[in-house]
Amino acid sequence: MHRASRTAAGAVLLVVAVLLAVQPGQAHKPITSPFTYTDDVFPILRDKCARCHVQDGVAPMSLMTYEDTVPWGESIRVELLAGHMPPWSVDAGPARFRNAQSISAREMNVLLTWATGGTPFGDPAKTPPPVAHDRKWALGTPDLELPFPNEFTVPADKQEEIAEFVLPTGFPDRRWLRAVDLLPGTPAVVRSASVRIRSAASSSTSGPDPVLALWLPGDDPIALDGHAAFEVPAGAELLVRVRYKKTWQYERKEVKDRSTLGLYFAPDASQAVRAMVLSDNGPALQVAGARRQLGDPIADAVRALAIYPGDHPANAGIVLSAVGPDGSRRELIAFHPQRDWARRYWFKEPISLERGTRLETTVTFDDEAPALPSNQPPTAGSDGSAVRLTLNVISEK
Amino acid sequence: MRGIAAALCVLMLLTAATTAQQRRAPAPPKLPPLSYSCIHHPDVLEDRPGVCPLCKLALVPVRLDSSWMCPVHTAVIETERGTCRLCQRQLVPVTVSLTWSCRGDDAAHLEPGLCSDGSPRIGQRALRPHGNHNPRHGGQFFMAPDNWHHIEGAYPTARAFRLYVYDDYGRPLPAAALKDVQARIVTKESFDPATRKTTELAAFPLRMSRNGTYLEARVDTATLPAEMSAKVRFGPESDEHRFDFTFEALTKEPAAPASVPQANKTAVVAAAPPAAAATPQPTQAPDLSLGPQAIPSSIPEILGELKGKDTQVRELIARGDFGAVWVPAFRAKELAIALEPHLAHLSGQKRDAGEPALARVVRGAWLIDAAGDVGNRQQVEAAYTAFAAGVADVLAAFQ
Repeated sequence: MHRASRTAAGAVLLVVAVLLAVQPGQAHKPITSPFTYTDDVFPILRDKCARCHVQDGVAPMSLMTYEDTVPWGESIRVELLAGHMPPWSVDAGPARFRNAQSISAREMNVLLTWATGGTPFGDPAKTPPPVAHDRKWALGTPDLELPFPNEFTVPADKQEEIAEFVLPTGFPDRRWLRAVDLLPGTPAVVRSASVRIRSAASSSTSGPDPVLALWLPGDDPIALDGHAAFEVPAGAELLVRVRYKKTWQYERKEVKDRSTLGLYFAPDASQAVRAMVLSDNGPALQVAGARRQLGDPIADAVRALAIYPGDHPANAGIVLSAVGPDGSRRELIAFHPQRDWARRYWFKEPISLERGTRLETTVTFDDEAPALPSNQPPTAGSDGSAVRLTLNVISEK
Repeated sequence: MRGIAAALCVLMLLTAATTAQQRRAPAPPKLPPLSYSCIHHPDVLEDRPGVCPLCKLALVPVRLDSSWMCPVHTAVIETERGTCRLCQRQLVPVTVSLTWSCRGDDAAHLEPGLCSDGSPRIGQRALRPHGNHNPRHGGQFFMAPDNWHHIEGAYPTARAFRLYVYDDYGRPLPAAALKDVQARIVTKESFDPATRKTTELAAFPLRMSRNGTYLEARVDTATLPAEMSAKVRFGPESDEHRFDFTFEALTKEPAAPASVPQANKTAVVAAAPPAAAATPQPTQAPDLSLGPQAIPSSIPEILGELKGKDTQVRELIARGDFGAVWVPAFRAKELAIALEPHLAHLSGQKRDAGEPALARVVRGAWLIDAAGDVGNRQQVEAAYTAFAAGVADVLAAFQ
């Protein structure tokens, strides 16, 4: 069969397979799960997954109806066991972070039991109401909306594209931002975005432009409180780098997007949020579990507000600890960063780090990875060793 | 040819279902023949009506067909061999049952036709479950990671290893298919943690037996317990899978056919176990309770039992009894879930540590179950590491 014809036929068959596989009341399929979709599973999916797994969402499938969910039972099982979903990979409890997206022990067990136990429907009288994609600003209407300057097209023959947009702020004076958000024009393909500040000052330095925001679908933007804010110099431009990725539903289709950036201003005279880059310049990572110092001891006392990963080995578990001048050790974060889900982890409470504090990482590999077909084998990072993290801090008063 | 016929069948069904104007039924497609199976023991499959040899219930007719499915994205079912369009994994062969029904009517028919309103019945393809994971020759039985093949390793006499290979119904692979299986048995190997590479020091190719029903090899191991690993490719395009065996004694062929259904896993946690839970326990099951058990009333009692289950899992893994590790692991997860409401009574720091630890116990238990099914020691031990760390953190948080 001609390749194109075969692909088309395959696509038809895929749709058919989905249609056929989702009919309730499947014959000869043993039901062993005491949990049903209507009573137990849907409430969890609605509360924890609906931001992405909804019709027109960025996820490859909606999980908001029984018919949509059943074909993905095995996929749900694998993703949960691999720790890929929900894409929140911090070991500590959700109470320590402002944007935590974890699921509880009971919720995990309900989903796994249901996915492996025949995916029963439940009571038809409790069929969930339709869930629509929520296309609103999570923090309310922004103080300033900056639409992308042009519509971007992901061609039919491309599955993934990176696009950069320059958004002039037109600020005559320095401004302070308490939050930045992005409203996708076509949510199904906007997979992630970073927003950096480009100004005369940042252009004169050799380092990368300061990161203003890391946007992910489903990750609520965090508004800084108190007097901390991101400083945007007069006349600065915002450089938005968007990763577009099609799901299989958009395969071989041209998709257009024009998103909008939303800025939320903070009062003047705010305390500037700074980026403290923690780089590991040591020899190649050979032995997992060894402690390694990141950068020099802290020169001035600061309060850490958030952290986000840069480079790191694949399938690595990273623990970042602060070692005080008196030798006391405090764990800041223990997590398993996923390359596709690079986010900022916002501490619930600012963490004070006194002058002379050293920051250390311990890297381990996720050895259960081979147990799951979707995992890649543990490998070193792209450069063989690098662990690079960035702390967002403000000066200690 | 069979795949193409199935594709045509499905396309015809699609046409029939979506063309509202055409109220005429399509020409009858060529259907797979009827088989007869037990609703409680799907591994029982006959080509004529009768009763289940295990539970004596009347067999029901089923119409089975073959397709190719993604091992992870089970919505991706193709009629030809290939790769998953979502993740590029190799598709694996699956057996599906075909039925047809009408909207608003759960009755499943075994052939297409017209509904009472004149519209064509809608075709359904349902994956057939794995019904029998019990050894047939007294050996150790595992499911392959491709979710289709099953293997059984036997050590009938000193220095002799046998590998039996089955399909998703637990039926022995015919000799023609067994020829495609490439396998070796490894009795000595070393692992370098720095490079994370394993080097085989003693490996023996598995060759077809004279009667064409299993693969066999002479190995250098003569003492008991005998530890060895089978590394198996089920076909030229298959990934290599590893299965770890620990034989504490020479395996013996059962006196009678050992088609004893394995106890239902979910029944351990289910408040109302389904009928399958009442079936006999596997012949090699450990001395562990498989029935629903009450959760202790006090936190110290829960923690004590949790600690005990952790020990049981560790001991079973040490013995290589991977088919049984899920039993105490699943009990441990039930105990962990029972602790969740008590998190509210912990101090902030302990709750912070305890909450994710409970989830890790649950996830670890399911990982142990999955790894135990496929009989890979490395995976079982890695899953146990995650599980045990969760248990330790739970104990630390609640004590």
